[in-house]
Amino acid sequence: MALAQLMLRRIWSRLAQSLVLLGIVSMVGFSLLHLTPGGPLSQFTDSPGMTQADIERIERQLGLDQPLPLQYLRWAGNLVVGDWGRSYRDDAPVLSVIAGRMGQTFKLMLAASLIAMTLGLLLGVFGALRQHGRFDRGATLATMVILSIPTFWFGLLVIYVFSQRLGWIPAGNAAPVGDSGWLVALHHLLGPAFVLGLVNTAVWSRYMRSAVLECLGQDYVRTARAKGVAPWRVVVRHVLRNAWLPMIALLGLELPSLLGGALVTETVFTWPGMGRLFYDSIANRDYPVILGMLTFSAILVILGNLLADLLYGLADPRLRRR
Amino acid sequence: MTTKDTTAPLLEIRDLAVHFPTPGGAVRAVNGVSYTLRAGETLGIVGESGSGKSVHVLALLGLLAARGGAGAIVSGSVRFEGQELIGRDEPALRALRGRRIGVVFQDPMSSLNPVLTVGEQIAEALTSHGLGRAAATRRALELLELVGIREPQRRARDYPHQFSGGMRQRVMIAIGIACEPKLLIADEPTTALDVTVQAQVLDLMRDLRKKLGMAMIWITHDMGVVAGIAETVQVMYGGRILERGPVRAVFHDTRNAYTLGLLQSLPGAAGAAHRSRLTSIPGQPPDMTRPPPGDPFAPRNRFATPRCFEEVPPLAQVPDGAPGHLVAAWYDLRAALAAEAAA
Amino acid sequence: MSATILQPALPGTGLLARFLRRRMAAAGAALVLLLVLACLLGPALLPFDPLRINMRARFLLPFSGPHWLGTDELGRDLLARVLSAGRYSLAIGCLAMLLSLLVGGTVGLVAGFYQGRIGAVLMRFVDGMLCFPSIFLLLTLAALTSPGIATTTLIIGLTAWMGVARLIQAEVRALCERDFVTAARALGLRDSRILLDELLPNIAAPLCVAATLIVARAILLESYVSYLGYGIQPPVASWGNMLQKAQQYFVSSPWLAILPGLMITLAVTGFNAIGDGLRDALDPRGTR
Repeated sequence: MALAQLMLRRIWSRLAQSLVLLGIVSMVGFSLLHLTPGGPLSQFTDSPGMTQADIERIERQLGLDQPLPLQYLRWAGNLVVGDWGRSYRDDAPVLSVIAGRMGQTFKLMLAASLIAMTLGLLLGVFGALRQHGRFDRGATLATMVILSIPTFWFGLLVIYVFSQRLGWIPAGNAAPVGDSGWLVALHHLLGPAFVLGLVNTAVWSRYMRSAVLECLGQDYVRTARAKGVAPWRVVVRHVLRNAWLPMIALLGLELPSLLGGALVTETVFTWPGMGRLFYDSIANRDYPVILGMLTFSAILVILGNLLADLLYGLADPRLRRR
Repeated sequence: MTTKDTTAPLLEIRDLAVHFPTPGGAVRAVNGVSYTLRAGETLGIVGESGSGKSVHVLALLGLLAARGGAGAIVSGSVRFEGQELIGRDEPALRALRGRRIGVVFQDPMSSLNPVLTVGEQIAEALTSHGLGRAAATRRALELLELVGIREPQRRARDYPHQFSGGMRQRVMIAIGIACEPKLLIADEPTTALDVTVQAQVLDLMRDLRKKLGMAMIWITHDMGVVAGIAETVQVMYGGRILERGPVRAVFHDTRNAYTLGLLQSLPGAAGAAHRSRLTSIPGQPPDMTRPPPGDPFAPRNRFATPRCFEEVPPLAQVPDGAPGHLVAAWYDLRAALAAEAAA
Repeated sequence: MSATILQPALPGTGLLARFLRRRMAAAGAALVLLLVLACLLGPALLPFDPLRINMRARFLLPFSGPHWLGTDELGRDLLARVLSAGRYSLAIGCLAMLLSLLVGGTVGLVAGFYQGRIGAVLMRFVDGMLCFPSIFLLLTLAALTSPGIATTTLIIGLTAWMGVARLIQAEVRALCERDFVTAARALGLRDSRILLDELLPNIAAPLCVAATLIVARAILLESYVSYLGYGIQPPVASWGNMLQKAQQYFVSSPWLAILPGLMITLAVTGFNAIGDGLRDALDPRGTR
């Protein structure tokens, strides 16, 4: 009973914090687009056929002649009720345009995360168990180099070698919708998932390594060994059970860079997800979609953090006290 | 208290040394420690931090690697129940740890795993040595009751942070005695506790020792605690034993200046006999990367003779003392004190 | 160098020794030094102008003539281009780092020192900025401004300062609890004096670590923005925009794309290695 109450209060306070953050984020995103030199009208001002009168008409139509705070409030109000504006490019509602791309990005991130978590866990744990050993040195060097490779260039190399030269993977794009089934889709997923997965592996293995090292030095590990617990059991039951707790919090913190990595990978592999959408709308100066994407990605990050936080509360017995 | 030496000792340590190689030079934590422990005997080892008192037991249990000391160099000989421990492989040591030798560590908060229930942690000591899961869970409840925790059925499902400091230490003790070991090593088990709880834990340990008939090594920096539980006391400093003997002899016929310093810094009645006012030992413990060439305590010792600075004094029977009362000192503390009193 | 290694590490003084003892860190420092020297001196020493077009010498293979690393699609010498591009990429990386240290450091110092309302507002703003994937922010800014060297530096610096602010704020907060700051306040020292004379020197170490890691990130970001065409504009070469053109000829002349990418990787690896080494050397528990 009391437990449920505490959890509820925790959820409420986190929710309130997230809402404050959301307010800040929306203001930053909004002003960013309105205060930069080009501004939301740049798409129209740049086209040669437009007269001054045309531009003023559009300005009035879009409400861009009103004071900025007023514009923000109207935009934010619409945001809450789900009206995110319409894409300049194909006049579709921004939210449905984004929603249409979301699935592909999640698919890619899920596949990459599966690779990254498995490999990262193994590399991090085995590196930490033999700290400064040959494997550890090799893994440390490898992760540092991977984190130093430009992701887009790495993607280009993968395309060149595995697609152009060896023909193992298709050059890009998710499988055409409704076509040849999941096997083809998976085949298309291989390249981008491999690239994004490897980059994320480097991130996770570093975190995992230091988390495991931290836990190995703890007194309770010594206690477990003094009890005569088998070495593998010490690692699984005592070290990993504690080491994965900070990983949950880190998942929340790393979410923005994970999303960023997905964007880069999508542009290289022309994967039709949110990243590709963002890139295209920037090329087209599709202002409502850009703003929508900025806001959407920030909301995703805030939600992810909220989720990570609540998960942490559930996983750590010290936080769910009776 | 039996004084017959006819049975083979339970634990026999010869010339145990532990060095940690570091970039700044080897840290000589333990430098040739030798002693024996009979079955059922309780030995109190006293010293400041850095005296080697904790490190030498971790070394004999093969537990130094856990503290990042993968490179610790251990030499000498440790025989437990007639078997050599130094150089034994990990599986052999593991079979011994927790089953024949139990350990109770100092800080029960950090020494218990925060994400496992207390019941799980006690049961694990048993399942690791072949007991089935169900039986281990049942035995864990008995152990909790044995160490004086009420409602064991309910408390076994709690996590360490839900216990008070004293109760946590009782859980640690339950883990240490789970397999009814022949030897229990208690590394400063009462240091983190306040005085009343300390007394309760001491009572519990005395009681358990009687019930289980095990030998005990009680490591502490507090001479007062030793007086309350041990038969034999051994004073360590700079990785060496400076004095050792029956508690009565060491307390009332003190032969080493460091032991005297420890007794003088003791508050209350136990210390009163040794001083006119509460004193602490002046100076700093030695830098163990460059230990002094002679008696490690010489730089802080007002009775030190020139020889103390050059040559390590051997640990030898006090000529006119109680049997088994050993001291390592070039000076004669009794004579020196008498001379001081006369002056 | 070997003399320093053999000396025992005394606390405080052994920082350089501890840093150099890490082989990876020392190698990173050497790599960065080598790259910087090559990019500074190289273009002057080479007989080829990185901008001179020679349509009769297009797509020459590496190691096959007077052009050591071959030529690109317009017959320009690749080695000369890669080295002169390095000047821009490295300079932008360093300038963006300075900018983000300046902004992030100021925000962090102020937010950590004035922990009341000012600090809270500033840090919420930082939290908000950190919710955006930095590449999203960067691309938005890049697309909305006119591309060029100055704007590229500016926008990279302005999207990378939040981490610095968080770090410095935490450090300053911890320092403010310590006695010497209380003492300085009790002595009636002006806030600006305490901030600059007492606090800044004490956060120099974590600042250095952050600085090297930001240079690494800034070089990566510049290359990506320029690769997409929103950064450094041709004919000026940067490692990123060299890749943009090279992509078109990837199948026929892969080395055009491999070389600039390799340079980016080397430079970024070097800076990352320095940053990691510094951090480990500063970490008192990290002494192995």
